[in-house]
Amino acid sequence: MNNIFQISDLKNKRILLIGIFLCIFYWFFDTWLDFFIFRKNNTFFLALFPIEIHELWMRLFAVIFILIFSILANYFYITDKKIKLQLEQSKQQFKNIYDISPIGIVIIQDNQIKYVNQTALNYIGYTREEIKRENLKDLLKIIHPEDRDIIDEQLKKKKSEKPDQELNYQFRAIKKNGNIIWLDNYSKTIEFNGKPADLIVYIDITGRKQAEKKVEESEKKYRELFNNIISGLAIYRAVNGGQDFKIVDINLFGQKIENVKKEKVIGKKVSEVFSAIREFGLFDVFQRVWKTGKPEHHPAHFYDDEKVKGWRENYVYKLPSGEIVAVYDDVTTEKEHEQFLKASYEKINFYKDLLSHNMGNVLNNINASLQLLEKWDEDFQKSEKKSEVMNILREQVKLGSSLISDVRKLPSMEKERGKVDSLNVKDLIHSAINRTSKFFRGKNIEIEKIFPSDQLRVKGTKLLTKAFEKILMNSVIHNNSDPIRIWIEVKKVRIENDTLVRIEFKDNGIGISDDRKKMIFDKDYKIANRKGGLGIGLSLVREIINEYGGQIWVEDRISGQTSRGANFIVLLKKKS
Amino acid sequence: MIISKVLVVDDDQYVQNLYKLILEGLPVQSVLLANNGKEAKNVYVNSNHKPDIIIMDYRMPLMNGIEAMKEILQTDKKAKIVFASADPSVKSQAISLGASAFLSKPFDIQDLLQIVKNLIK
Repeated sequence: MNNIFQISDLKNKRILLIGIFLCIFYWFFDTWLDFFIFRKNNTFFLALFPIEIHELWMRLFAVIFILIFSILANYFYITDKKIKLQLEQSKQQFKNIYDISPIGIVIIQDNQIKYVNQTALNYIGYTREEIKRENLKDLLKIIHPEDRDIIDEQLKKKKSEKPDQELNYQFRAIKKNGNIIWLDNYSKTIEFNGKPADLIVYIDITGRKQAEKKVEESEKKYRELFNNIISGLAIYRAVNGGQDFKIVDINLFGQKIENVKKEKVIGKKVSEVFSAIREFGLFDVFQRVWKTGKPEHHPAHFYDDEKVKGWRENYVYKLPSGEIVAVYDDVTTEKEHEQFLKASYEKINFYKDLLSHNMGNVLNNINASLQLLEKWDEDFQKSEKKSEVMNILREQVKLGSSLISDVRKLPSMEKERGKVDSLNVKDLIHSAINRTSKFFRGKNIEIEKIFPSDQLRVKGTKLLTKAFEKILMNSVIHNNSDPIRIWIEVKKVRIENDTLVRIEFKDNGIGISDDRKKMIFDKDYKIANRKGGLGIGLSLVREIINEYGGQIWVEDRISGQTSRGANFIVLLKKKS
Repeated sequence: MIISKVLVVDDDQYVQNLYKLILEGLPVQSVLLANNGKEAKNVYVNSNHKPDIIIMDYRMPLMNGIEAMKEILQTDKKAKIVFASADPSVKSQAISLGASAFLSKPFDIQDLLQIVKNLIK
């Protein structure tokens, strides 16, 4: 604004002065014409200020006209200058703005750089003068050799197709100092100074490119990790407000574990792909983790659907994106080993207890008996007692041998379990009676049997003979009666919709107190109950009976009279 | 010296019989029998004239020897209990809980008789 005033003060005053001068000149020139040429007036004064009114008005109009003209000329002169100045200022301002703009701007016309802003210069590290000195073709050296084809292609495209189309491409530029930067280029044909020109706008995207490269490398790294980790890894996205979860991704190991193909499960609901996931318990974990964001460990559980089955252990956590990640392992082999080890450990403990405790007691009894016999060696008065101790010795030897026999048979009995067959109950019982009678040869044992007319068959293996044998031995051992009497009754019964075979083993033994009736089938009881010497007896009997879907329990032979013998009742599934 | 009562606690009838025969070497008026810890506790608590000595097995159904010993000692701190077991790992526990002696199976009958004699003194 200051400039404008200065101009108006100096230049427009000059125009006004010229106007005033012209007015004065005209006045005197007319005076000179009137006085010296036309001699209209007698005096110079009258010629200078004519008394004829029309003459005076004419001069006055002329002067006023000149003055108005000069004022108008002055006005237009000022306005024009002002506009030019404003334009110049505006141009400068834009130049300044362009220079400080973060965008590089170049205008090329007629193969010459017409304009380049400071930012564009900063990008490549050259000065304006250096750029102006260079030939446009030479300037192409700033483009990375590998990207020159891209530029050529784009330029050809522009020439051959639509010259005024906008182009956008990215390329690498080599700075003056040799560093490489990435530029995102926008180019458009504009009119510049009345002629078409290329306006090229650059943005430095080096940072973005580096970040993209890092992201790409990171993604590649994590993808490698994702695919090569030897655990299953699956990503899920909650749908319907966490009512279900869609599979977003699954790694190679996960596909292998679950026997699925990635392309077939991506985008599908987890409840559709893994139909037993709710029963498995993992679905609830997903929902909790999704709601709370707290990671959870889902310990090894057995998964079983129509396609996949096995033990799976899961770790579930939530990503910042809201997706759920499940890292899981197939721990079936480990679990099987664990179960095998547990079973082995239990067996070892079982045998250890059996030998150390039961056998220990047998040996203790033998030891004490022998010591008593030695002590009474010369004492004839003790002959009756000696006989009693001898009986104890004989029983202990039998119990010891029975124990050893049981231990020896156990592994083969386990093998037998798999061979399920249809067996004749009568044959099984006769076989058990024969074995028991042989074992207790010399004892006065009477066994009565009642069988139905038809031949009943049951589902099982030869282990059932062992089970019946144990029951019979139990009846003999826990029996102080003479003769020892056992009643075996077999009949067909119908319970609900099942046809079963009911076998009762009644004896006239010492009976079983009510508080022991349930315990005698317990695993721990077999160790504690040494009297029978059949340390592995009744719990094994129950195990065998249960194995084939049967039941066993014990009642009083005569209801309410605990000490008058027991009645072991076995129910087995009838085989047609 | 006359021992009026001995309570033998064992679920093995052969063992019970053997104890009875062994104790014949001592002036014992009567030998009471219990098949498990629970029975032993009931016998002890309900007898007007308490047994002088209890010979207690460890592994028994319903209530083991340790539990039975604890309960008996709760009712009578002076009860004399000889703990007999083939499992040496329970010895320290039995002694610390108040057993008067520990008899490791298989035992020498002279050791048993000596322990009983010592406890009566």
